[in-house]
Amino acid sequence: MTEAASAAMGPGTAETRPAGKRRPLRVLAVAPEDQPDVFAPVVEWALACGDVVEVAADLPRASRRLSSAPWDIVVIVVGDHVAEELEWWVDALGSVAGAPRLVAFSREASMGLVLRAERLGVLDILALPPRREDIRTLLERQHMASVDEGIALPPVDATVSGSSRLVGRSPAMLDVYKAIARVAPSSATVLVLGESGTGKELVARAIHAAGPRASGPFVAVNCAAIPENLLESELFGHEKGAFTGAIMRRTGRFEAAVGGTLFLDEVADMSVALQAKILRAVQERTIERVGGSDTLTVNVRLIAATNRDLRDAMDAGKFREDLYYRLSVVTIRLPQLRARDGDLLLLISHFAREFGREYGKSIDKISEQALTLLQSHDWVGNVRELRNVVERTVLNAKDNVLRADHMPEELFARAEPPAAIVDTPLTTIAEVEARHIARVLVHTRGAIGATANILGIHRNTLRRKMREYGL
Amino acid sequence: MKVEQALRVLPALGAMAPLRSLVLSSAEPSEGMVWGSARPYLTVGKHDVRPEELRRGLPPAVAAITAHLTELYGAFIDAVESIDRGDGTAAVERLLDAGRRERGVERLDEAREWFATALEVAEPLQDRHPEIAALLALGNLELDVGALDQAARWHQRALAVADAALHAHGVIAACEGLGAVAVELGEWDGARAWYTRALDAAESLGEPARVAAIHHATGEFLRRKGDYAAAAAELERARATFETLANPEGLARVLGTLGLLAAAQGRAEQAAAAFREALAWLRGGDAQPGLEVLIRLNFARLHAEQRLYRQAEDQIRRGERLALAANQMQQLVQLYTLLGTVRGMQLDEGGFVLFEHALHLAQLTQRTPLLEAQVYQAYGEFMGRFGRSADARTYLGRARDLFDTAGAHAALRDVESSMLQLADSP
Repeated sequence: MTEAASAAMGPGTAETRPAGKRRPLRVLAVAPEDQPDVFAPVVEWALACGDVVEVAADLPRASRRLSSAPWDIVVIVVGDHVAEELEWWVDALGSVAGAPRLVAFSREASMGLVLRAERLGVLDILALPPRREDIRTLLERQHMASVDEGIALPPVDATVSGSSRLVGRSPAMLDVYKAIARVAPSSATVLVLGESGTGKELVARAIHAAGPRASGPFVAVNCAAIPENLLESELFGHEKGAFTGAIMRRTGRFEAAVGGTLFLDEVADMSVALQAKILRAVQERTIERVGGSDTLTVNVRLIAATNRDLRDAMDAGKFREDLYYRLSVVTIRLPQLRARDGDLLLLISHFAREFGREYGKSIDKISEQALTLLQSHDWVGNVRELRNVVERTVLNAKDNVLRADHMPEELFARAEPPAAIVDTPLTTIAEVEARHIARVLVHTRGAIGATANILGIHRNTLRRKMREYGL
Repeated sequence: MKVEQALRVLPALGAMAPLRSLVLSSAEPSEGMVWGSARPYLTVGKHDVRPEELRRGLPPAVAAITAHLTELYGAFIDAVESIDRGDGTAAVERLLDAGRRERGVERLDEAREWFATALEVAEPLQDRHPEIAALLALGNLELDVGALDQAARWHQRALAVADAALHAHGVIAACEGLGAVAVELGEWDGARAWYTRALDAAESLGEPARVAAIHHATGEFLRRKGDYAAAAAELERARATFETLANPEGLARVLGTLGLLAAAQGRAEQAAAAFREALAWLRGGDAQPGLEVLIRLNFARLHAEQRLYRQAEDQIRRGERLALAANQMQQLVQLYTLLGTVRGMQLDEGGFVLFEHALHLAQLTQRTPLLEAQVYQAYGEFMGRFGRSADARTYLGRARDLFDTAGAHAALRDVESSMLQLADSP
């Protein structure tokens, strides 16, 4: 195909020339209505790199093409509603098989656009009109990522995980295992502390499974999930007609756990009034159903968990001190994921195999780029967040390797600013401020309160500045 | 403070409905919830109320209420003036305008009153067109809330008057309404007859958009009947016409139904492609937000049936944000019900909280118990997964009673089938 013929092409396909051993990248470009030929040069340059570019005339046609063939990259031109458009595309591509990455061209590059795109994990933001060098660099980078053979994932055998599904070899986890082994043989009440996603329920189950009540039931109640007006009846049961909607008698979780273990997750989310009833249940081992008059004996082992600082809650009057001392007969504190030296790869392997089985894929490697990405991530959500990321990556995987390109977009949100912008001598104060706010937002995963605290400004001030800078 | 706590101190008065909507739409999940163990069960009830956002939202909310009332009062004054000068037709139109405005903000009882008043004014007029318009407005409202018998009565009256007045558009609309009622009642032959009559009339008028809409409605009923080949043919006709007319909303609706059809036929990839394209057609357009939520709801169901629970939840959560922003309470109920069902498919008994939230929200809407019945049915099926047969029978029984009351025979058969499967369980 001649250059002139290729450049003259409207919406359509440019097929590859032989390009060595590498698989051609498949790029779908969505042309804006007012510039239908804007990607004609891109077609030509990609062809020269040995890749496939197809141009869709509009969004619905692009959608049809997305569904009909696998794509590596989708290229769009953002218009006036940048944030909304980027979010729509990132969301839409997340449900497309293979999870193609997004590249956005803009007529008016701005700090806000770049920062917004960074937060969403967009692969790249390029300026219109397209430049050959930009396209070549982009495609080359993607090729390098796709040919990474990957390193083998370590096996996760039964000696590592045991029957409890706790996975970890780090010193921090060894301490946890020892604590479980110490407390399991008794029926002492245990309080499990740790950030969200550190495995508090798994620890509770491990204690139950290794203890004298292992043959009894393990009943878990998430106190933060249940509507407040239902939590009491959920825990203690109710009699028919005890309240509107009580259309039949219901036994509660305390009764369901008799002879076994009751796990109260997010115990700090319980109202103070309900805490008093829990205290009585712990002290006297008796309960009454809502609307009932009979006192019932309940012989359960209680394990409670929270990610909150209970001392702060006590100081604020939101958690009873007497209940705290009753629950914390034994306390086990779980480490953050980032404090578990050496466990990250083991956990990745464990989840990759778990989800590989679930989705019918055989995953036994991880690319170096992907591993670097995971190692540099903050893991605010700890192991739960890691599990979520690995699941999504396995879903999008095209071979036996976990690759960076198949990871959720938010992993690509950079904590450090690109050097080019920071070193620009003409950077204004506003740009520096915007850049710093964006960095902190990325660090806190968009948490307004935490960001405001770090920056030392009021939430409202932060929101105003975010609007101002288009963040 | 959580939304569920805040709503307990807000009286359940109609006048407070806009404030309730503002509380729901301005609240956000707390930072700790993002990766907390309660995240899979998170509903708007557990979002944090943000007083500063409420205060910020108060002036525009009050302005919107003022504008709404101004329109209503203006419509009344216009109607009075019209009657004064002997223009009953204009009066009816303004009264119907007021009703449509009320309906647009989910004030359904109020809308009914406006439409009923419009009918009273219209009945004595020589020109029958206003009466037909009022009857159709009432019929469509009752259809929307699930009062099927009442909807059928209004549409029958509208048809009779339209026939007598040789009002072709009225005949078409009445037949469409009766067809829709017949579909909900599971009366397939009746539905076919009504849609055929509507189609013939629309084709005679030479209105391609109307014809396409009827082909779509016919395709949808054939899909529900299980006649997939015929459904596909009708839907393709509708699609081709809407594409020719460059009607993005019509295309999105048809593609949504094509997605459901493909899903019913086990063609998951084609279904996903159809839903995806439907969403693309809605991008940046002026279509009702409820349509996007509906498509995402069906897309989520498809993912769930494919055991792609992660993708199902993504679509549900996206739909949740849209429903909250657009005050689509009915769809919020459906989203939480589906999320509860997904939890059940994952054998997560904790999902029961989603059904409890859904029931609470359903009881806040001005819909008939049909919506509540749908939640109870799903809740009963959820309980059945965990072998809680007694609970399952209780909830399914409640659903059956509510469907029976509403006359929703197709749904009634469905829930009775579920109950039969439980019959032998302990």
